[in-house]
Amino acid sequence: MKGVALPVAVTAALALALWFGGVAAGPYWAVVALNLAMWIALTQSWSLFSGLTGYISLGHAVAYGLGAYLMATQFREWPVWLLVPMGGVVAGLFALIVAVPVLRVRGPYFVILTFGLAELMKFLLLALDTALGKSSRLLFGAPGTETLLAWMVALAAAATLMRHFVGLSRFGRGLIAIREDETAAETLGVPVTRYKVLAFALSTVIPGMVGAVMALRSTYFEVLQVFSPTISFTIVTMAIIGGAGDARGPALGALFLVALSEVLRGASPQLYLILLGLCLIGFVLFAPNGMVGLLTRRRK
Amino acid sequence: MTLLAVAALTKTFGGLRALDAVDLAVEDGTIHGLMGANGAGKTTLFSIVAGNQRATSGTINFAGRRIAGLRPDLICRAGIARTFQIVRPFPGLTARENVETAVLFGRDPAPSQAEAARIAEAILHDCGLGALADRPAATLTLSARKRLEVARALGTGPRLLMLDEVMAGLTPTEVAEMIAALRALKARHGLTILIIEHVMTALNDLSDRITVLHHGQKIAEGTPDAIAADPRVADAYFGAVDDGDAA
Repeated sequence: MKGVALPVAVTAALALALWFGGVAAGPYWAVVALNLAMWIALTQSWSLFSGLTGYISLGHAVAYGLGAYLMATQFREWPVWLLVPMGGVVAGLFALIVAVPVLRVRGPYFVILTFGLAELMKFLLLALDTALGKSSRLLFGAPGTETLLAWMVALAAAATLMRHFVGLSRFGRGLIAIREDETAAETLGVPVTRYKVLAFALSTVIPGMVGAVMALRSTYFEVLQVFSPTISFTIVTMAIIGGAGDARGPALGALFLVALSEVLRGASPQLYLILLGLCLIGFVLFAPNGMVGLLTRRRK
Repeated sequence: MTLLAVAALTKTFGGLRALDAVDLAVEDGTIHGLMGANGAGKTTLFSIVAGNQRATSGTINFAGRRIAGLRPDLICRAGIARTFQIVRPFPGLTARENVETAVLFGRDPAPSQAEAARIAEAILHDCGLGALADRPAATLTLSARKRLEVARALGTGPRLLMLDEVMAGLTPTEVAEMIAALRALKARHGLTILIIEHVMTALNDLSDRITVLHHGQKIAEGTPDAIAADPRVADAYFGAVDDGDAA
């Protein structure tokens, strides 16, 4: 099939480079690479739904949190290699259930609803943990950073390829039609509800797996941390800066923010946040299609 | 053969009867005109047939199948396509992508993407959009966007094409072009057309039969000549002069 080999080869090469670079450069850089891979996986997944349909989700932290919660609570009961995919399944099923009511609303109401739902889940699970008398958990004997890095890079590559190929598929073109004009799309034969629900659920599977892997990485689990809205906000920021128009955008956005935070972390954390805010405003005002939009425009 | 049969179709918005027990039969292979002043219920009728709105009561049969209450995407795939009075192209997509999307989703079974691209190319050419195919829809002129609206509806491979004022806002030359284009498209694609139009010369010229709606009720139906001579139609448009209840 035309156009399959090249994206797969490029993604695999970049993934191998990221993994090898992280392993070769020592433990500090392995963690940076793990972070980068994590954000790429999350932002690509988010873009599969929000980039294509234009429904901006502020609730993807829930998928991450559910995966992490599953890992933290079942760590002793099940093998780790099984818990990671199960994190994806749990997140996907949860999204499937909430999608039907949530996707009835459009525009700003959808954004607020996903955010509210994410906060609700966070405090529900916090209340559950408090009732069980477990405010935090420690995970002993988790796999080392290099193993986790390999898994995370694989997830980032999978999310990237999924975003790319869904975007080009008939399914993806239906999602784009929904973004452009939902009523017109439906009138032209796009099964809009089914497509939105499916894309929403699909976009949470990899974040669920990412959450499960990250629970192993931090070895210390707290509900407030893994369901933090900061995760959702960061995903959206990366997608805006990188651009959500194709699979390059989320990767560029994640790379840019992770690099910026690395450069400024030691020097001045406040400066990082100030620059982040400036970048966000700048991109929204002057480059609404992100870095990818700038690249494409220059070529034309 | 009757392709579309609407019976006792009623739609109320609160106390307002937008459609009041309207019957309509569109014969296969004809062009059927729908006229009436603003607010007569023409667009509401279109929206209900296409599934964008639900009827309060009444039945709709299309090619012998009951379609009232079906989702718009299913009605589209059953063979009914509509255009919107206020055009709604996918603004960020090119004209070509607009039509390709319609071809990919409006047909049953769905064609492959390569096949869809080929069909869309031919339709764009038929609608005089060949040279504009790779322009974003948002940058097209009103006349071109109206043609794109028709091209996209055709893309779904309909048996019944419902056109909602595709000539409003066009210059007389553009109207003449659109009439010629519609005739050619009808012949080439074997279409039945139900058309709402305020440009009366165009409607008379195109239609085999015309139905007149007034305040949600059907007040007349017949050939264009019969409609032009019908006093009830003149009353509805210009006001009655004889009876006492006229305000």
